[in-house]
Amino acid sequence: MKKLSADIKEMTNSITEMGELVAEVLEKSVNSLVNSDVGMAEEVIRKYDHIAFLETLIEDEALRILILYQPMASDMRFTATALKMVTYLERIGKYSKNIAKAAIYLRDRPTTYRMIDVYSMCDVAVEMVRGVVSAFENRNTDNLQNYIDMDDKLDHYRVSVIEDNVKHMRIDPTSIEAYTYYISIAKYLERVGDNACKIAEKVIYMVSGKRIEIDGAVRGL
Amino acid sequence: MIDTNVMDIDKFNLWYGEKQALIEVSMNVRKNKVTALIGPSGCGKSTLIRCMNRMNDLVDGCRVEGRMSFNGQDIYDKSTDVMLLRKKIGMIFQKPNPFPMSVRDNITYGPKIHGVTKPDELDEIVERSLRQAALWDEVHDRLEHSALSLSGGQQQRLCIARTLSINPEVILMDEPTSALDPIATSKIEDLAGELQKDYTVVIVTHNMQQAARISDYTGFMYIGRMIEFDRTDKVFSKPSDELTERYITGRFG
Ligand SMILES: Nc1ncnc2c1ncn2[C@@H]1O[C@H](COP(=O)(O)OP(=O)(O)OP(=O)(O)O)[C@@H](O)[C@H]1O
Ligand SMILES: [Mg+2]
Repeated sequence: MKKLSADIKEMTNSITEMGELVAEVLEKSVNSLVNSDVGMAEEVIRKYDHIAFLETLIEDEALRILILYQPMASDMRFTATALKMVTYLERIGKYSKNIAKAAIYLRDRPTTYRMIDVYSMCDVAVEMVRGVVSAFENRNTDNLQNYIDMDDKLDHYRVSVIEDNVKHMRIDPTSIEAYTYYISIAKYLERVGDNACKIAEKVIYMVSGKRIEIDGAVRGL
Repeated sequence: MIDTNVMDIDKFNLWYGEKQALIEVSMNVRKNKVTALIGPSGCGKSTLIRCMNRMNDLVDGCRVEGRMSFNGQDIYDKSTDVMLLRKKIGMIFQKPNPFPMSVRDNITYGPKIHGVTKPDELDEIVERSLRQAALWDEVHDRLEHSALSLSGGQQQRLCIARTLSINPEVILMDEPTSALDPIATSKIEDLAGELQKDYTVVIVTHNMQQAARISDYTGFMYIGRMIEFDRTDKVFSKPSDELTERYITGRFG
């Protein structure tokens, strides 16, 4: 089945490209927020449309592979992972778009909140997304070992973002709406981490056939 | 529920003259389950399945070693009644081979040999067997017609009905659908699933999707050896052996 191997290679490339685009868009969404850069936020929103388009395209391609080849064993695990992965990537794209929209809203509503923890969350989230994409591309799950820790980190930062913003709300009630936006942004970034963990689980399944929950418990085969 | 084994095969070897066709084959056949045998052409699937009811006795120069037992009894023991064994373990072949007689006579042939003579009893067997083989609705009004006037798919189900008429425990099927169209194939596949309530089925197939669809256990054979034998979902999602992986993903040779 040379054709199937070629199709799988091609789909690996498409998903890797989609994943890199998603990581780029995620990073830019937070940059647009921190720098109040409306142009960049608009770029993110535009690129999200392309991500959504890629999701449909790759999904169709995966379904085509299922129908034409009825793949077995590692090919089946690859195709199943591809189908799930594009959905998770698209969601991460959508969270990025939401952050970009918040950036546009917040540009005209300056507050005293400094977004240090949001920045840190972005770094962790981007690293997680890039990590799963490269694990998928190389079929190597070595770098997925510390995802539990990274996920915990995101949780921890999110709590801290909420606490900070609640404090600011008390001091500066006229900007309550803006502070709720920051809280939402932290929520989005935390969800990005969850989705990256879901992708990590699927990639582990693809490579080893094992169903693992990122909290470490092996559900068994 | 713990699965019980109807057949136990342990380090079984077979030679056709000088040529060894089965090498240290071990596997079990679980009761009321469907067991599939897959593997490239010439790997020994038919040879193995034919051993299960001693069809290979008919082959000159064929010699076996090792143990193969049916309900705990050695199939190859001198004291084994081969007629009785074949009554308990029936066989369906790749090409439907109904006898050139009426549909009814095809079914009553076996029971008559085994001593059933009462007409109403025979009628009952005819209806029950044809119903179990999912053929009754199609042929109940032409039981006196020649079996050869049936379609290929109907003939194959008739052969299954013929096997069922003598109350076997195990039904062996050697590529039972390879001569059939997709509709007839899916009927036979459904049937294999139905039959498993009352019987144990062993099926040889070249169609991996078919093995995956209908079987509970799958054995992958290669050049006379049983390379991997495991639960079907395991074999097709994450096989343990690299050879199995390569065979079922079509990356062989
Ligand atoms: N009657 C026979 N005499 C001699 N050799 C035989 C005989 N039957 C089969 N063989 C040989 O034994 C080996 C296994 O044959 P077998 O028919 O069991 O393979 P198979 O897995 O059923 O193949 P296929 O998928 O083509 O039906 C082959 O090398 C074949 O040539
Ligand atoms: Mg054969």
